[in-house]
Amino acid sequence: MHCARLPVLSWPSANSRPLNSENTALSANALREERLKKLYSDPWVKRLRAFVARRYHDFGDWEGWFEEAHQNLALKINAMPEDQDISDALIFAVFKNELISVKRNRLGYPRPRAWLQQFSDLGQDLFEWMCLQRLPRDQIIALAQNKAKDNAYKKALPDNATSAGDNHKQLLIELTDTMIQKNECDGMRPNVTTNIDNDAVIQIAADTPSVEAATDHAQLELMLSLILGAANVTDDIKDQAAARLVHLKASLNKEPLLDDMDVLVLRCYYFQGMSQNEVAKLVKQPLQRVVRRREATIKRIRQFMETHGLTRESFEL
Amino acid sequence: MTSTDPNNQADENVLAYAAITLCGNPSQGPTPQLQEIAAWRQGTLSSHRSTEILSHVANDPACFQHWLDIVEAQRWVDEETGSASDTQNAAHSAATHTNSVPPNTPSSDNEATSTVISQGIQAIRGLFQQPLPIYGGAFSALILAVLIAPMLRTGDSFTLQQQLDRNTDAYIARGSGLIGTPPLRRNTRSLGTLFDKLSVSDVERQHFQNGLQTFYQKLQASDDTQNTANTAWERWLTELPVDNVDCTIAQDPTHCSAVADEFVWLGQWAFTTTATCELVAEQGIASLKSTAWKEQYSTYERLRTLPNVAQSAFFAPWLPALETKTPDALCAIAGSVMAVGQ
Repeated sequence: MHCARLPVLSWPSANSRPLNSENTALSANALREERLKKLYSDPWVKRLRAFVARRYHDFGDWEGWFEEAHQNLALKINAMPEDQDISDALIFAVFKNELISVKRNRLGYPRPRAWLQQFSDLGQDLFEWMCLQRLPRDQIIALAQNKAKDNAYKKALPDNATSAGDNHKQLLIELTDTMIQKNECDGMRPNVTTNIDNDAVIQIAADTPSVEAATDHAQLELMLSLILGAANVTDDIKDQAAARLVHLKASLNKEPLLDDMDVLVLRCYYFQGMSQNEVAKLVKQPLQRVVRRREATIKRIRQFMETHGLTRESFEL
Repeated sequence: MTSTDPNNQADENVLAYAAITLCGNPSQGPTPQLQEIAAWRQGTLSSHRSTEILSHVANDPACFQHWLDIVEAQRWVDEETGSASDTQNAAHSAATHTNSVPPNTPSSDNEATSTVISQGIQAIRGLFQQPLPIYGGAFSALILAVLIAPMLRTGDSFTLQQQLDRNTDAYIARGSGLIGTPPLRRNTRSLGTLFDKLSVSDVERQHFQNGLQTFYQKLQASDDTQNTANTAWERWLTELPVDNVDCTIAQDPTHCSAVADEFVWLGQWAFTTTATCELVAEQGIASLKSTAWKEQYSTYERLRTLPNVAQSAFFAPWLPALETKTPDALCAIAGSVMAVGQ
């Protein structure tokens, strides 16, 4: 789809105008008013509508949610400090979050368990499709693959999928199988929403964890399910694994196994199904370095898991 | 999925999950707001706070999603408004014919762009006989790279480097990235390495491999999200030498320096042509017009008759004259040369 060239609309900030002690308050108010006018101007409303229509056309009643999300966006931007550098991209990112919040608040969506939240929006989408819309597994996998193709930071995968696409599909199969095995849809967890009317409106903080704490044991149990199959995760196996986990944590406390960039690369490549080239562009590192980092990290974690007896072969099944 | 076979892709998924959930690091510092993550991405924060935000983005799935949201939003904005820097970069690259990513500086070539962009689009479309995807600024930049510089240098005939760059840029403009699988790697043994000196053949091959890298670097530098290599190609590419040949360790340093350009060109040609052939094989022979094939034949003839290439004991046998100028014949030659030289 060809998008007409639009002028770059720069956002007013205190950094772009001189402020002195005599008219600071007046300028701040004027600045806020300017920002709001811009947000409600025709060009910006058109841009936001185009963004929603293209990116979130499967949102159902997005037209109805648009107004509320737009208003919430205006509130958030209005509450930002005068010296905040506001880019167009930030506006769209905030707006996307507001749209999702409106959707969830309006429909009272609960949240998935902590293990599924590890997969960010993918986990939330899988939960909604499986537990709320009750879609069949194959359709869920197809939807997730299509959505991944539509993401702006990923290339469109051909029908004969590349290795990155194959890996992503494999991940989707594993996740949906695990959700079924773990009865993910049984019961509903309380919805933790951000109150847009409270004083924390300027804090566009990360969502708070669900009521089910993301404990090491919960994560370990899931990992055992993935390695051994859910049916084989007996209480005895769990006890064995828990004991080994203690030693594993002790080792990590002495010397961390991974640095943050390792984790980020793994999250992008394995959880989001990006290719290594895409990851390299995102993290702004040479491709070769990303490839070597990923391979070395997987090798390191494999050896670490073997050393601490957390592989299939090390459990007595 | 229950196997822990190291070769199993599903096994890597489990390991990645274990790495992130069990072996990840605690996030440091206060949880960043969306706007702070945006600032981090732009590199405007202090080193200390940047480190803290990286820990959040890597280890907190919600912060990670915020980061992806900003990336996606920026791409959306770039799509809407076009990217001025892409236009300048590509025009500068076309004018200077360098293989490195050019600096983001204005070029006088840009001043003539607006009047010829529509002509360029028609020309490229005609060359490939199919509508091309529009990538806003990036696409316009590629059009400039392919067409503007030659138009501004009316009267000059193309040098071989220019011709190679035109072919490469035309391939990149299709936005298909690298498809198919790389050729099987041949392991050849050189006596020269036994004496810690590069033989004549070693030198020619390594220059050739630098040429393969040249094509890939241009592909990577195109900043088009569709021009990405799949995992098989990425693995193959990581094994190519990145540095130029060190002629001081060649058996014949003079020869090593003298032949560098010719075999780098040969490598660039081989990769560009092989990739083009793969694409044509997938999309059908009619996807590349006869005029484009004529240009390919012309480039090949110029290359194979270069003095050092023609005398190369290693490469010359793989570069016969094209008795019948057909795409299949040319593709077969390019594939053979690439398999031999990699």
